[in-house]
Amino acid sequence: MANLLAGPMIGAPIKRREDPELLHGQAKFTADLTLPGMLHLAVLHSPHAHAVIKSIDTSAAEKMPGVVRVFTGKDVVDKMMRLPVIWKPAGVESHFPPHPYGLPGAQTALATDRARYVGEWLAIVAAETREQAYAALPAIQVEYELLPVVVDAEEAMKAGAPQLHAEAPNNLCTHFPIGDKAAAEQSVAEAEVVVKQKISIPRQVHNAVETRASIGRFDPESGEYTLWTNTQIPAGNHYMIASLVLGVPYNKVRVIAPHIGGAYGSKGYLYPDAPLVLVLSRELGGRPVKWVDTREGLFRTTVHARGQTHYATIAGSHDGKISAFMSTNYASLGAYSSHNGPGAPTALTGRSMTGAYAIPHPFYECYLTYTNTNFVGPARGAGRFESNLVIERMIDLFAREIGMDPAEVRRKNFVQTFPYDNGLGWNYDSGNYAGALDRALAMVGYDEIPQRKAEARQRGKRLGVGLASYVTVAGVGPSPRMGREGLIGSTWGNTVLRVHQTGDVTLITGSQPHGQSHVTTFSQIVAQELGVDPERIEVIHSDTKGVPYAQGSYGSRTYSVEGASIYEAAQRIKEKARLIGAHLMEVAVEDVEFVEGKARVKGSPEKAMALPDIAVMAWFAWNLPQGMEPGLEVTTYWDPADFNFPFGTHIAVVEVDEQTGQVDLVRYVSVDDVGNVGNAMVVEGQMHGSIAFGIGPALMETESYTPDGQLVANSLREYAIPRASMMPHFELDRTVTPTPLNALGAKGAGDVSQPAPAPAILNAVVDALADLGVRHIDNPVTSEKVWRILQSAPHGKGQ
Amino acid sequence: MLAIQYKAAQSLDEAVTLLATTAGARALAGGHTLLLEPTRSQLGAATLVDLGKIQGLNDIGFTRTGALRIGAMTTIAALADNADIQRDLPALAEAASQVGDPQVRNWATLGGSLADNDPESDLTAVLLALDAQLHLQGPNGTRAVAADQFITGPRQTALTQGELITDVRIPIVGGGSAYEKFKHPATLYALCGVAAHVSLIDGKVGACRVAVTGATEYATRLTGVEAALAGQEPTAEAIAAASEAASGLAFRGDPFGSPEYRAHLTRVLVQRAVTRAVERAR
Repeated sequence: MANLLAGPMIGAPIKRREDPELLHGQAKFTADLTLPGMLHLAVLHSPHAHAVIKSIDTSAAEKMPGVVRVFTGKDVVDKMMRLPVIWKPAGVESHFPPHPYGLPGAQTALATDRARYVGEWLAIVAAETREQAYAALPAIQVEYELLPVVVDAEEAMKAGAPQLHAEAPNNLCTHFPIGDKAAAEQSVAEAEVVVKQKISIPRQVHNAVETRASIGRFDPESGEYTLWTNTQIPAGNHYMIASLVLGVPYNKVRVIAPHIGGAYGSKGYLYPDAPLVLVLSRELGGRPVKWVDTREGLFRTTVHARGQTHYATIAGSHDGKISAFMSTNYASLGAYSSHNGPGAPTALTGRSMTGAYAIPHPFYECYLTYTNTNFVGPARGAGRFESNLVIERMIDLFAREIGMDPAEVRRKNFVQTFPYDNGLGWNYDSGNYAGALDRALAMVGYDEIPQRKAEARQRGKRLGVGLASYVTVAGVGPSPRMGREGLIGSTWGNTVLRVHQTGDVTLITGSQPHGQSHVTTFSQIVAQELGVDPERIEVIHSDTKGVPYAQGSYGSRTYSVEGASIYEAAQRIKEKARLIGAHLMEVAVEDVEFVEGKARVKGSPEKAMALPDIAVMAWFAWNLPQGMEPGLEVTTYWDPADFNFPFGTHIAVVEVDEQTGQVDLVRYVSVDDVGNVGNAMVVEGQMHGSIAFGIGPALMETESYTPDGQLVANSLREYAIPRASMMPHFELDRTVTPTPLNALGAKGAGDVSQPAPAPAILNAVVDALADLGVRHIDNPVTSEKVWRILQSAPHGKGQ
Repeated sequence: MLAIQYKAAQSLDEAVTLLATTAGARALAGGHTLLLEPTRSQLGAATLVDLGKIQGLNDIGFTRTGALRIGAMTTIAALADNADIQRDLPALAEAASQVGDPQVRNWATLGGSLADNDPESDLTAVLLALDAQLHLQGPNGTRAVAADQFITGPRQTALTQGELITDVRIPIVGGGSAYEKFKHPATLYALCGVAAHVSLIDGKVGACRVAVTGATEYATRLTGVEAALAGQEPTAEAIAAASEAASGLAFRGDPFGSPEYRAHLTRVLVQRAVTRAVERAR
């Protein structure tokens, strides 16, 4: 264990306390859990993208071995409400199927009369074993009447397109404009240089190693519902299930999130299975029921990400200054909205559209539509992956148009003074964007790139270098602001911090870890502030019985919001310990300080009381200051004043094989600034993860639908995700610009750099092919796409 | 209901008997493809006969006639790491070292891979190019089949019910060999793989075998390329010209590579593999 006196614990790169359990295979995931009398569920998916369900005959399936019951939509429709949507875009008209409480509505858990996407749940088998449940699925007879299908967000708005919901004419959920359109148009009209580009960003499938899974148990005696599910938001699930789906008392529901095998945003939802397993357990007399998805099910019904098409315009002058940026985005929610579906394409993408640049006249609008496809929702880099891909590509296109180095154009237009109102709704707290850019350029040896290009050419390779800067909204978030944005809920952080009479510490956090190292980094805050060995700090989370109503982990919020609430809790413990110490030592309060785990008389360090000695007196309460409550425990709720805005610059170096078109990522440099960090090694790991999660969509990941609404990729044989062997050694560095918004000076770090890799790689590939007249390539940049470009190049240039 | 039985055979004879007499019996020789099947409900009520406990099926050594004999249960990792293979059959070592990932290479076996005959398998093309003989044992005794005759179609082989691959014998005949692979981004199998073996006589191509995998319906010799190279001085121009003879085949397509692209990759990889094989033959 690190010597507490040797240096600060906060920020120290200590090893994760979470790892031994995981590495030894001892960690229990939802699929590992078995309850007495448990039944297993298998789901019948709609094979059609749009169809009237004329009838479902379950009688043959119910006679299959081990089958206990088969449920259809009609069996549960009056036992649970439609799922709610808890993000209603602010300030605009929007259209959703209605939830009974007047909220926007999502889907019903099981379809009743119509299926609107491939994979929609039609029926569910409960059987004694998982194999028996799956074996019964083919015996369910469904009669369909096929309806016309629309899968493209833009096509869905056109006259004559198939209509998905009576409540949403022309399949339009909302039109969301921000910025001054007239001023932006005028600026474009008056500009010396105008560049336009359509940029299509296909869907990405999160593909966590662990699929979704839920176990529901209803206790007929107590009337209590217990749900085990791999959710990033146990408290959010608890609230929505009790109040907005089942309509049962809040205190009759308990949600437990066991270990989670990756999420990347895909498990931060209320999915149909969560309330459904509770209803089914009740209908089955209290027998617990378990559902574990398949990989094919994940492709079909776990949220997809991205899926936006931007028509972007950038305008400015030959001296490199940008005056206006406009983008019109067509995005689909899917057949229904996921519970927070509108958030990414409206606020997250829209308000982030100008990236790191001070652009006087920004404008963004989004047409958000329903199509016969699976839901779209946030993934690591939610919404900002898309905005940053567009702005960083447009910056390069503008640089090319005026013949200026892309690094120079970035430097000329960076936001310089803080706080900065970006005109689209974000207020950047602090930054030194040129500092990160310059460091990255130095690391990559930017001046030597022409030499390297020539040398690569000798080997039959085209070398390209691509930059991407970024600013990512993080630290979600200020609750009043989120309310104004349209979130039906809150986003503060909360902590219960208890110092036991032994000096051991229990920390209860409302946040939910699924790989972010909460236990380690949160312990480090408490260890430093209270002078306690981290091994003596227990961190409790992820069980709504005992953890107060809280948020979860998403949006790079954990350390800068929940961490700040823990820091605040530690300050209050220290203050109470100081008061008790002064009282017991019979010294004036102002002469006592709490340092290094002791209440100590200033100037007389030998006169001190250690925290355990104070704690025991706090709990015994034999002799406390007048009017002081016993115990040494505090609860904090900490709401940030605003979001924080981490930033950085990434540089990709690629080599394109002139014969095959294969793109090799040969170097990757990233300089990130997340303010002060909680654990430098954990942050480095997050940066590695973010880069990997950007390399995928840049080079290989893509999901799409055929015109009749079938998924093109249904499995990992058809969907490529990057392997470690495809990645170069990442060259990382950090600059440190603390945020003034919290006492830790910490900004979000979880997914903040994820929006950089894809545009950096795309810019690098376009650079490698620039002499062929290539201006833009949509992601993913597959080998065949590049080969076709090389093939079509004028003779002699391609070779 | 899926009712999968497991039996660990202690000898080849026992394995052959089990496979020949048990309904739905399947040989387990690594299992990377086989064990994916239950999720697709293809296995049904299967009996898996594990070959992993049988002694002597993973030896590598020279026969008296100078061929390298490789036991069928040799792991892919062992192929990649074997010094004799690296020295005498570099194409095989190169292909083995590029199969899947380390975990796959540590479990998957030569025999399992050949019996599976995946259209994108790396090893099939190499064995075609190296003129390998596969030794089989079944209810009717043992026999030897050339790689050319063993591969009969996509996922189809000359194996009959109850028959197992016991070992593979590859003649060591001098010359040089090489394997070139373009990885399928999703599966890490070969989107296109080309193996070549070339012997030189007085600086000109003598015996020459070239085979492709991944790009076509199943691994196949490129006899047109071989014929075009025979007797030629292997200049870059001659090799490029010979690669054109690979164009007439029926190529596969998927979202990661159209038939047209796979045809192109085949030509490029033929050039690269033959060029390196020639360098090694010199």
